[in-house]
Amino acid sequence: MKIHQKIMEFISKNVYSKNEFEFKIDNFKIFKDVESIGNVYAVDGGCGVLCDCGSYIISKIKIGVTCYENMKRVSSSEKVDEYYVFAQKTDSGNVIKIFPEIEINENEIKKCKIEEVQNEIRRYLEWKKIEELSEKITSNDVILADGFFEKIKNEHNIVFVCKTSRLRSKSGRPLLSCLNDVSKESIKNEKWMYKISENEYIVKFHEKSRFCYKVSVKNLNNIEYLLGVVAYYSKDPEIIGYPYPLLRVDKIARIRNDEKKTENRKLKNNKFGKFLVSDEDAAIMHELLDKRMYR
Amino acid sequence: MTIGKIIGGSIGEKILIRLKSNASVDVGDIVVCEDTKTKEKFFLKIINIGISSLISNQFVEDIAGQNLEHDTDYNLFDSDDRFYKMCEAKILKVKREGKLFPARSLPNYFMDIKKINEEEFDFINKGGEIEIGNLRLGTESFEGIKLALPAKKLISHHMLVVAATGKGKSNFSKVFLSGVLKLDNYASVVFDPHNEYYGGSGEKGLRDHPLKDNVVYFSPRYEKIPGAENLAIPTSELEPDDFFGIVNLSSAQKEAMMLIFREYKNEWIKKLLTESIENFMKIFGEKIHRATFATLKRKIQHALELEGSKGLVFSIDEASGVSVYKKVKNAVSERKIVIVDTSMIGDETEKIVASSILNRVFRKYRVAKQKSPEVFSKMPEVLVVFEEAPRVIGSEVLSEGKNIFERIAREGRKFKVGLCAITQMPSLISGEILSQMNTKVILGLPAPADRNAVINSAAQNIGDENIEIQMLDKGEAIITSPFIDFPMPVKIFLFEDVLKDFKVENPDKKITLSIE
Ligand SMILES: Nc1ncnc2c1ncn2[C@@H]1O[C@H](COP(=O)(O)OP(=O)(O)OP(=O)(O)O)[C@@H](O)[C@H]1O
Ligand SMILES: [Mg+2]
Repeated sequence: MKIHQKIMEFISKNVYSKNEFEFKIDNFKIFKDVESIGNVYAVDGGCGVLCDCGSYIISKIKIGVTCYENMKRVSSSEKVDEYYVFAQKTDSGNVIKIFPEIEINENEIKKCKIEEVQNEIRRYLEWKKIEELSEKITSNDVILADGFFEKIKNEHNIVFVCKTSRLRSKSGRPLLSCLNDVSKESIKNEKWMYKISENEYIVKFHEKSRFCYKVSVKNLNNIEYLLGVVAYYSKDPEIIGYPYPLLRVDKIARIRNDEKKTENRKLKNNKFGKFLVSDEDAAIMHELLDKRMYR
Repeated sequence: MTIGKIIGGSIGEKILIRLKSNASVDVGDIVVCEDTKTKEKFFLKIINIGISSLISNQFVEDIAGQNLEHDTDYNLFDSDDRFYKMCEAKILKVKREGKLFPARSLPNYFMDIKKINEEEFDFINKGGEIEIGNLRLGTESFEGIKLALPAKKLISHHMLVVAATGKGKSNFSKVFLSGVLKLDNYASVVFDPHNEYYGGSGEKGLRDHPLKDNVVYFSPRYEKIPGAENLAIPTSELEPDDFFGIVNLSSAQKEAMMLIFREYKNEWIKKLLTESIENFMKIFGEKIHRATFATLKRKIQHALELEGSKGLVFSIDEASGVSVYKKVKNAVSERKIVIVDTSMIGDETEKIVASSILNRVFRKYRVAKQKSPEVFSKMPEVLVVFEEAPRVIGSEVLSEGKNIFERIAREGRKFKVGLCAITQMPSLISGEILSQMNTKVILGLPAPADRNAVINSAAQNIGDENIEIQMLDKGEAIITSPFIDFPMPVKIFLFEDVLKDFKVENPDKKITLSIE
């Protein structure tokens, strides 16, 4: 037997054969989209390493916000903040410097791996941005964010949508796909939500979507309105069923390879930047080898 | 108002423009781009428009499919950002410190594209006399901006007027001839197979022109038309040359014609047609084959449309009065426009009429140039207008022998004789002759073979105008010529309007195309 077949045989016997889904059809709740009367904001961050010299890393972080009203983007409310992070490994933990300077609790990020520093700061900045926005929105507005932030203080009208999830069914299958399969048979042509814990739902935002997402909402009183509005904004055919403002904000906050290259060049091409060339060269030896030998 | 931005391109290729979502731009439009960095102003012409999107094709197809097949409830967010139009443009001219140059530089990325203002049209050079139409951008024509062609050189360097049927070839020629009428030093000979140039029976023609005294009309129907001359030619005035390259003749037949002509001079046709074959055999003996006589008799009788000794134009009668040839030559010297109505005679006869007239006019110019340059220098340039030109300069007819039309196309410009060849099917004319037609007036040409023939033989690069040429509507033209700056988009005047407006000297702004 071919090894691939062996692998799949094992999985199907151990994971799929046990037909003990814990879901009940009754727990699916059907909902309708709601024409939003307020603004819909979306927040997301992106980061990327501009220069990795082994013992220190320079990275860039972008935090984007976009805003839609009546399905139209409000250009004046769209904004991207840019930050640069220098993180150096030392015996007493990471040394970190952020440009422009921001207030941040350094204790946590001092301890993590330096590759992780940029991500930690990005998540912190995203959270800050969401907090800041949530202070000023009205009760009809909705904030969409990618991922989940436990420590959000102001919990009104914030909908967290996760693109991926490690949630499992009892048998060990991915929860999202189990639910999706079940729903395909029993709830055709509807948008639905399925409560999986106190604040968490699995939601299908568009009846024709192939995907569902894990969604966290803290403000449970308003759940149908919030999900209805998100569904209303999930009709873009590029990825039907995924909230379009999140797609947009991902686009503006993402740091692409071209951008990384340009930034890297700018770091080197100034009178203080010379040493970066040799520092980086030493660190990227394996990358060069990769390129030469295996491509 | 900004209608787009430069997003790429090169001088040799095309300039790419991302259009603003609500901008309305047509193929053929002229737009302006002022480079804020270099301070250069570019005049660009839109040559193609396409739709484009930021989303990969597969997604786009999926989007359409979702809607078509599943009636999916969807909404395109940010559709103006993601789905838009792109244009290709070419640079016509660059203005730098108030002076105009051909394109040797490019505008930078993201420079604004704007619609052109009327006062910016002075980038088109001045200096022509023959007003032919209004400037046209795409489908919009600018009444206030008249375009004129320079007569000098342009006429003697030949013109080609091409278009599918009904697109306005004859109308253009009439408009152009009205312009020629106003000029001092030009004459024209028009062969008119549809009898549409002189006018009558409700239709307007050059006889309705205020300068109609300078128009001479020859027609077999002359009696019914006041002022018309009789188009009657005695066979005694014809020469073998008038048939060569026109009537399909073998070399034995041509030789025989020369022999007979030498023997009988101006009675050669009369003899050929009336004398018995037996008599001929006695005179020419071995030199001409019996069968050749028989065929020649039949061919010439047929070519001249003779019924017995008389035809509508030709007849075996003795010459009486002043010959048509002489009258035509005189009219040309007097800088008049000669219109020869050939609408009632057959194709071959018409060609013999034309060829015999042109042989004599051309000879007069040639001889004058050789013998008396002084006289020649004072002779007007003459434009020969011939409809359905492939009949005389098409590859097929010329493969059987050269004729006077081909000769004019090849060397007429040295002798101030220009050919204006009108045709629906330029692809029937060889590339070599097409290239001799320096100025090309291109009205709508849907057939690719015809478009390619014209584009490949144009003096300017008009490959980029391919799409525009295909789409040209009635009266819309692109004119290309070595004597104008760049291929010019024109809405040709309607001849009737030219007549109406003639007396009023126009105070309008006039822009002409010469690069003198
Ligand atoms: N510049 C123009 N503006 C408006 N109408 C025009 C123009 N040119 C031609 N037309 C219209 O098109 C009709 C046909 O024009 P015209 O006879 O000149 O075409 P053509 O190309 O010579 O056709 P054909 O192939 O039959 O000889 C005219 O009667 C006129 O109504
Ligand atoms: Mg015509």
